[in-house]
Amino acid sequence: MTSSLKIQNLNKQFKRGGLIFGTKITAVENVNIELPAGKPWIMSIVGESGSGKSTLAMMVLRLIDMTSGDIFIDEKPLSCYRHNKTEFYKKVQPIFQNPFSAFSSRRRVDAYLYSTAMKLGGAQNRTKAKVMIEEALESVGLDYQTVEGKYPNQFSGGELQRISIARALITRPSLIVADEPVAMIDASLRTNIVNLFKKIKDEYHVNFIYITHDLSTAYYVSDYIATLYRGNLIEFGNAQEVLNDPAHPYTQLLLDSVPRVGAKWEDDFVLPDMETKEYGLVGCKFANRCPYAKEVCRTKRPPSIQKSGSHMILCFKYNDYNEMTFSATDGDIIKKI
Amino acid sequence: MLKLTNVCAQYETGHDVVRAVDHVNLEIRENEIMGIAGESGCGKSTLMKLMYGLIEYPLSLTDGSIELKVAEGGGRHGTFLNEDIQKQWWKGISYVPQGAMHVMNPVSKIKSQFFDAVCDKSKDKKQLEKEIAEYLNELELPREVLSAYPHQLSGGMRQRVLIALATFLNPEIVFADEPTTALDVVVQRGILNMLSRVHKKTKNSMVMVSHDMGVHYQITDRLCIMYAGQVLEVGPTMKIFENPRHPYTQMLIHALPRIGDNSQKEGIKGAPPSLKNPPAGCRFSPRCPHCADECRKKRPTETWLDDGHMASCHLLTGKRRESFAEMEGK
Repeated sequence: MTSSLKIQNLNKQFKRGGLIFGTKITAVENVNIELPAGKPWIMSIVGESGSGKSTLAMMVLRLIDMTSGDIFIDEKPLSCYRHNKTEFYKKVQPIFQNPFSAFSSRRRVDAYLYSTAMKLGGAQNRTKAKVMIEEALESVGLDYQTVEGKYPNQFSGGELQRISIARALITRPSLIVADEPVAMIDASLRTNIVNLFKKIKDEYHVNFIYITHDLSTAYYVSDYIATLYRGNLIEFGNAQEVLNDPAHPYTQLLLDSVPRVGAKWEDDFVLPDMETKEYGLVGCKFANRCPYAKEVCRTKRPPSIQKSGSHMILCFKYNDYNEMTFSATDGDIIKKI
Repeated sequence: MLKLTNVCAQYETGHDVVRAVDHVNLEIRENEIMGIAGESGCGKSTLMKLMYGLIEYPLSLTDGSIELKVAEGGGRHGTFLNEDIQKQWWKGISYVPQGAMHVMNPVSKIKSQFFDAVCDKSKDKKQLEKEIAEYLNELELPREVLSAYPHQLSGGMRQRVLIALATFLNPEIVFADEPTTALDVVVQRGILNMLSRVHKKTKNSMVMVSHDMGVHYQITDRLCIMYAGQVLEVGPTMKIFENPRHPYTQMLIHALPRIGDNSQKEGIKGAPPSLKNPPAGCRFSPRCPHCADECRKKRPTETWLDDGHMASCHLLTGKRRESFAEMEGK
């Protein structure tokens, strides 16, 4: 099977404190994801703040280095782009959370579009670049005249976010990494942006990594969903399957916490005093908050279990709290340790 | 308790004025949670400032009045107008600001920030600290936060400390301006739960601003929908969700994706109008699918439907009423 994105045993540690007394925080731990090539997809990464979702995205974008493991995009490891940044950004493009800080307020917006088209899009001159820009702007529902010669403060947030999507499209990438692209956008315009992702996915055959903490848009737009908790990929699978029938207790908690219209919360809910020490736990990181936790959860790293098809869960509960059986990839790691 | 009559307010920007709040009539009753919904730039934070009496340059009140009635101790009731509301800060009226990240003093401990707010000279500091710790305990916050600096707490914890600070003196009205934006869903649930627990215990009134309709559904009793500086719809929350009367509210409720619902959603076309030069007539008319000539020319009047449900839309008055009702039925 050829894969369009393969993340293999990915780890990232951050150092904190001094040389001798410093501690290490594992922001991303042993993440394995493989997605097939062929049909374009949107993968959502959900999780609370501090779960490592942005770190994962930054590593895919090569903005920070990974500690160990590897990422393959279209079967090519990221390390082979080390001396060829241009080639890499032709393939992978970012969209950031706040469009007003993504564009400098002292530079005209079309200057960004032109430099992307000339440096990465392969346009030899401005006339050719203009054609590419017009096409990209058209697919996000804007025309060139409204953008030409304007500064970022002359646009609304929704418009500017659409321009940054258009900019990402100019190079015809195979992967777009969008880090919380709708968090700053008004509720009434959010659906438009998310619909745009769906449309672009089919039109341009581009894959999306969509990072969000808004589960309802994740459900609406994505084909696959990955739940992260304290750096661990705790649940992965087809989006509809996972969100209609969440298996991991944390995904269930997340889903229950979405303020929904039509169903009121009944029980009293008290927040745990979670702090950064959870990163250092040996067993399951969620064990302290989990209603189903048993002794084994606190001492051993949970196995990754295949529930059905692509649906994967990192939890002892689905293994009758038996620590012996591991799936192939996870077992290997444990043997090494 | 708090009554706004025909309130108009504007910001002066040097060369022109922005009319952020335009002819708003609103009433906040005792022992209720009032929700204010709307997108950014619709004037909901400005309205909050006005209700809180924080009327300072460049904001000015051009018309109407804001009237606050609170108990003054000894069984007496006091009425405060416009800027005078400031006299009741903390004791009668208090405020949970939006960005928990940067509203606290970064170089002083939580403890001393509580002392600053309470500012009761008659009490011994140790006694006061004990009271504060007890109160935090009631709200299930650990005592240790008192000796922490704001940066040592997580975002959710900081927001909870702010709520504790705002409600410590048991004010009659608490304003919460987007208390859960920028927090993730689990923490959001904890905070909303905390707010409703405080509300149940103290029986105070609460005004809650949020752009998330789900949040309003969960905790508010009455809901007010704002758009471009005007109130479009007010009513009991359940009524508004069951039977929204204004086209904007209908779109706001139905346009958002939901878990378990696979249908294709359409966002609202266009963008909110600029408040420097708002459209004449109904301000939603450029984006409204039911827009007619009348909507572009004349401002709709407030139409009171049954049971305190108000909407201001031309579709609810005059000739178009029947045809609209028929269309809705289909």
